[in-house]
Order: sequence, then structure tokens, then C-alpha cells
Amino acid sequence: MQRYGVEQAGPHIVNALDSGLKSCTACGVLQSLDVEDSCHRCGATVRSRRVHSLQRTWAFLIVGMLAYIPANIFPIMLTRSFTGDTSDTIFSGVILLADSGSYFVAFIIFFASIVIPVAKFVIISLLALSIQFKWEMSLHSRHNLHRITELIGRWSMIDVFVVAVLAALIQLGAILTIIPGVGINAFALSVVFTMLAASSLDPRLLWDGDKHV
Amino acid sequence: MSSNSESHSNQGPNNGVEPATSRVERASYLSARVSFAWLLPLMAVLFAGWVLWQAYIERGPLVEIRFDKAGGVIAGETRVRRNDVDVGRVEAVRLADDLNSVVVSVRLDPQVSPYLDDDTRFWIVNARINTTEISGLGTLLSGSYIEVDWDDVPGERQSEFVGLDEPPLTTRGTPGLRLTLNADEAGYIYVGSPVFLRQIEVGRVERRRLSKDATQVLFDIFIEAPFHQNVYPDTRFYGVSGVEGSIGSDGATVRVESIAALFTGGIAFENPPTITQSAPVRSNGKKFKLFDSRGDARESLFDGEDDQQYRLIAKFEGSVKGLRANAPIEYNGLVVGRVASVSVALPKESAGPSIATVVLQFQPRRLGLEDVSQTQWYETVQGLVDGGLRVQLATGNLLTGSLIVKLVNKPDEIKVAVDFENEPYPSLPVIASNVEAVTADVEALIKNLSELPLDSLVTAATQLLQETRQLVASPDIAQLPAQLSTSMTSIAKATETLPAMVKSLTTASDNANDVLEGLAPDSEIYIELSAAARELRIAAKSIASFAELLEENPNALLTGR
Repeated sequence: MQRYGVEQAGPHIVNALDSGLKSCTACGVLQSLDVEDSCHRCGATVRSRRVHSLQRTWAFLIVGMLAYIPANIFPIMLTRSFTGDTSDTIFSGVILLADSGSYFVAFIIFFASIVIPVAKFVIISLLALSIQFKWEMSLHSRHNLHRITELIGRWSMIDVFVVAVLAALIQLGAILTIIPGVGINAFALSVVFTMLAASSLDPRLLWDGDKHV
Repeated sequence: MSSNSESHSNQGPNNGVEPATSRVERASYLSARVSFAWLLPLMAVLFAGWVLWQAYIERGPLVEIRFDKAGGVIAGETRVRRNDVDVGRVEAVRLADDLNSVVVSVRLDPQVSPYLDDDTRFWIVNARINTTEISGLGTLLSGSYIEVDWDDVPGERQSEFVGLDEPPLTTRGTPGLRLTLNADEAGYIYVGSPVFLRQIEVGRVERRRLSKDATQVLFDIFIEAPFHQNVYPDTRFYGVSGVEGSIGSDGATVRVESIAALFTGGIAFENPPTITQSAPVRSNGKKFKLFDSRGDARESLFDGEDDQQYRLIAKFEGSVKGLRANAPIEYNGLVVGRVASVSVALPKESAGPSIATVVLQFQPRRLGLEDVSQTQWYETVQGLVDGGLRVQLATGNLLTGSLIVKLVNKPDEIKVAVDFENEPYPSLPVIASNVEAVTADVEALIKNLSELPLDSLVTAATQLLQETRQLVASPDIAQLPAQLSTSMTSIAKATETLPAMVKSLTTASDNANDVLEGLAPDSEIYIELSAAARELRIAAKSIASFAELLEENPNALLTGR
């Protein structure tokens, strides 16, 4: 039961690096640290720790956060009808849905487009900072946070899909036409880069925390 | 966030392992220490900065427009459009400082800023439904917008404008011609009424207003290119208000310029059949007279130039019965003007004759004078008067007794100067005419003719014929030849006295010659009489045809045909 006990994850745990080995993340084979960087079994690149993992995480996270600003400022959807053009940002769309009584949909959109991205920014920054400054944190909670970000990250794309489906379906010419706005591009970029940030964070770095506690 | 910290975290747990350390230490050049991923946020920041910078430098001018009412204008939503293309957006709507009008702040596209000079016009487009137009229905659903219009000449930039209450009918820069027409009454012509040329709509009435002294109605009209090339200085404009009908000997005619004009009225223009050598009107703002109807315009011999600076006065002693306003002024048989007004001043001493003051409106163009100034005109008049020009009344129509004004050359008259001191216009010298006598004679003649006992004459003639027939049939006729020879004998006797008779006849004919000289073909009495005879002949003819018509169809009196 050692796997699940945070308290047990102490200095006595021996990892591959300590043993002068590195494992292939593709096929799981262990090989010596000083052989070349390709797996002798499957040919995948094998590194003890991903190169520049933390740098890449930070870079992608910053791009994702930057892209999230225009995603909220600019309209994600233009509705063109014979009564004129209206444009909706993410937040005005949520308010519009809530006003019209669709609380459930409003909640989904609000959760997927605002809560999840912001939560991911916070979690990834927290993990990266904790690795960077070697904060004393529960290793297992770090691990769980990382898993959650990887799991829920993709759901942020629900807003992008909503707009894409609406824009594709509602093309009634002069009566009602929906056109994707600039904001949705920025939002998609933000989601993609946040996912990249989460995936480029090498989880092994999270476990390395126990080596210098 | 540097590579060092990361390599520390990599190296930290790795201290005891030589190969890993040596591997990291070998990474001496930059690409191994710094991730290329850092290029992405760098690019993102640069891109965002560039976008912001572009947005800032491409920010268009902010202008303020003052409207009386801002119906349907919403801050942040209402667009500014030109030719149905968005060129700006309303940023704010607020009450003006005096709280009586509305100030709308508009952010316009940078592309249009050079044209924001003082001839830029803004107006709010709402749905409009009235007799002449239905427009802007789209705004019922989409909300109103602000339309802007300017000419294509960049000018000095303005940032505050006053919006129009109503949309202008023609936009600036539309090629065409703007003219001003003056009329006595507004008739059925409104702003927006069409202007026709040969029943084709070529323009619109843009404005309808009173002249400053409220004596005339002025219409500002716009004629679109290329039709404006058909406007000449002698073009006639006339109102076409609904239906124009006439009933004549050839039946009734009804003429409608256009169905639209039936409801809204309109203006039409046409050129005289012989366009003079003058060039089409090129400059805006030229003034024309607006005639009441097509007939008036065609019959009028004037060019609509009613310029008071060409007015003169003639003063006649005695009666001017038959002289009315609009009577023509003739010079060598050509109409060169018309009588503007006739008034009578009572004599100063009770014994003296009353003086009739006749204001003469001349048309210098018809005397061959183009665009003369008042001074030049007075000089010309003085020259003509020095040459013996005099004003005389003459009979225009013997039957109606109407008079016209004639300019006659009497070189033998004593030289008289034009009285330029006279108020309100200079006074021309006049000479008396025998018009009154002639008129009286003709009136008597006509009276006598009408009193001829035609009926009894015809009865008498019939009796005469019957009696003649009886006479011829009588046996007395048979004896006639015998009596004839007797007669011949007595005639032979009578001829002996002929020479004496011939002599006395010659004397009589000499006397007659003397009388006839007074009636030579170039004498005035002769001309007038022959004219009268002509009139009579025409009258007789039409009476005959009328009688014929009546005989065939007595209903004609009621139906007119």
C-alpha cells in the first residue's frame, strides 16, 4: 500500500535516476543513463527528465494566459439577422443564456469557458512554482492536481465546439446567420496552449520533490 | 524561470551520478540551456503589442454632432453609414449643455477623416412614410442609423457638426445643376416633387421657401446629369399639378404629366423649338420663372427674366382703356417686353387731364443685349430716344379693344431726354396716337353691321324674285322688242349729251382721287381697316362653321362637339 501513502513516499523510495537508469515513456524499458537518447527497444527518445520541461510549461502557460485576454474581450460569436447584428463575448453569452432561462446550459458554458481555464492557469502555475522553488507540498496532491488538469483541460473546448456547430448549422442567409468571432480563435488558442503547458510538465519532476525534503 | 533553476532541479537529485552531470554540463551553447518554447510567448506579446499599436494609430477621428432629437440612436450600437457602408459608430449620446439638443459623439473610420470639412452633413435615418416617399423601412427592424454625406474634395477638418432634421434629397457630389425657380404661388409643388423633361423624371425639388419680401415663392431644384445639359437660358419651366385639361373645337384633351405628379405635383421644363445659339446653363443658382401651366410657358414670349432694373415708365394723357398688365411692348413688330402695371394719377389741377402711368418691363435680350448692366441699359435707351424713339399706344385687337404699347421711330420729333429723375423708374417720352378715334369708328362699324335688318332684306329679295318671274311670264314682255327699238332711238338722242357728262365725271373723279390719297395702303387707317376686315372675315367664317355644326348637331351647345 505504499503507492497510496503520501507519508510513505519518503527518501527511502529508489527511483530510476538514483539507480543510474532512465525509462522509456513509450515502452517502459529501463536503460542506462549514459547510453544514447533513443530507446534500444522501441526507438523512442528516452530522457531521464524531459528537457526544458519547466521552461516549456511556463512558456506555453504564458501564451495561454495571454490568449485568454482577447478571448474574453472580443466577441466569440456574431449573430446576423434582419434585425441587425449582435455580437456576444463569452461572458455576455453566459448572461444571455441565464436571462433567457437556460440555467443549465449557462452553467455548463460558464464552467467550461471560465471556471476550468482559470482553474487550470492557477493549478499549472502552482505546480510549476512548487517545482521551481522546491516548495514543500504533499507530493500526492501535486500528482492529483496534475492529473485533474490533464483530464478536464479538453472540456474547455466545449465552447469552441458550440460556436463551430452553431456557425455551421445556422446559415439562413438574411434571416439568421451565425459567424464565429475573433474571440473564439483566441479562446481555442488559449485552451490549446494550456493543454500543451499541462502536458509538457514532466510528472517525474513532481516526484523529485521528495529527494530534497 | 531560467534554465539554471531547471537544471538545478534536474541536477539536484542527480549529484552522485557522473554520466548525467557530464551530459548536462556538455550543454554549453544557448539552445541547450534555453527552450525554444520561449519564442512563443515572445511572439504572442509582440503580436498583441502590434495589434494594440495598430488599433491606436488607426483610431479614427471623434466628432460631435448636434441633433434636435436623437430618435433611435444608441451609444455603442448605432452605426454611421455612407452609401450603406459603415464608416463609424456612435460612442456616446448626451444632452447638450443647454439641455435643448442632443450631442452624439461618433468615432469615424480614419479613411474618411480628410473629408470631414464644413460641408459634411449628418442626419438620422428612420422610417419615413409620406406622400412623396416611403423610405428607411429597414430601420424599423434594424434600428436607425446616422447617414453621412460629403463631397469628394478634402477640406479643413471640423470636429463639431450640426445634424440635419431631414435627409437631403441629393447627396453632395452628385453631378447635376441646381436652379432657383420663382413663382407667384406654391401650387401643388412640394419638397421632393419631381422635375420632368419630356415626361422623364430628371430631378427633384429640394427646397421650397418664400422670398425675403414674401412676394414670391422660390423653389430650389436639382437636375441630374446628364439632363442638366438641356437647360438653356431660354428654357421654360412650368408647374404640372395633376391634370391639365382643355375643351376646344377639336374636342376635349386631358394631359397628365405622370401618375406620381397627379398626387404630388411637379415641375416640367422644355426648350423653345428654336434654341438660340446660347450655350447650356453651367453655373448653379441661375434663376428662372416658373409658369403656371404648359400653355402659359409656351405662349409667353419672355424668358422669365423679370429684372426690375430694366423697367421704364411711360406716362400717357387721357384714357388708356384697354391697356392691361402683361400687354406686349412691340418694337418693329417684335415683342421686346410687357406692361408690368398701369396706374392712374389724378390731375394736379382739377382742369388738367389725368395721367396714366404705365410701367414697362423690357427684356433686353430680345433687343439683342446680353447681360447688360443698368447703366449700359439706360445708355442704350437714351441713344434710342435721341434717335427719335417714342412710346405710343396702339390697338392690339379691334374686336376686344385691347391696347398694346408700341415703340415707334419719329426722327422728326424734337429731341427729348429720358427723364432719369423720375421715380421709381425713368420715364420715356410718348407721342399721342389716334387710337381712340379708330377704335370709336370701328366700334360704330361693328354696331351698324350688327343692326343690319338681314331678315327683312331676305324677305324683300324673295318677293322681288317672285315679282320678276311674274313679270317675265306676262304677255307684256312679248311686246318688248318693239318698245326696245323705240328706246334705242331715244338713247341715240341721249348720247348726244354725253361729252358734257364725261367732263363733269372727270371733275368728280379728280375730287375722289384727292379723298383716296388719304387712304393710301401705307396710311395707318388703311392698315387698321384691313386688319379689321381680316378679323371680320375670320369671325364670319367661324360663325358659319359654328352654325353648320349647330345645324348638324344641336347638342353641340351642351357637349362641345
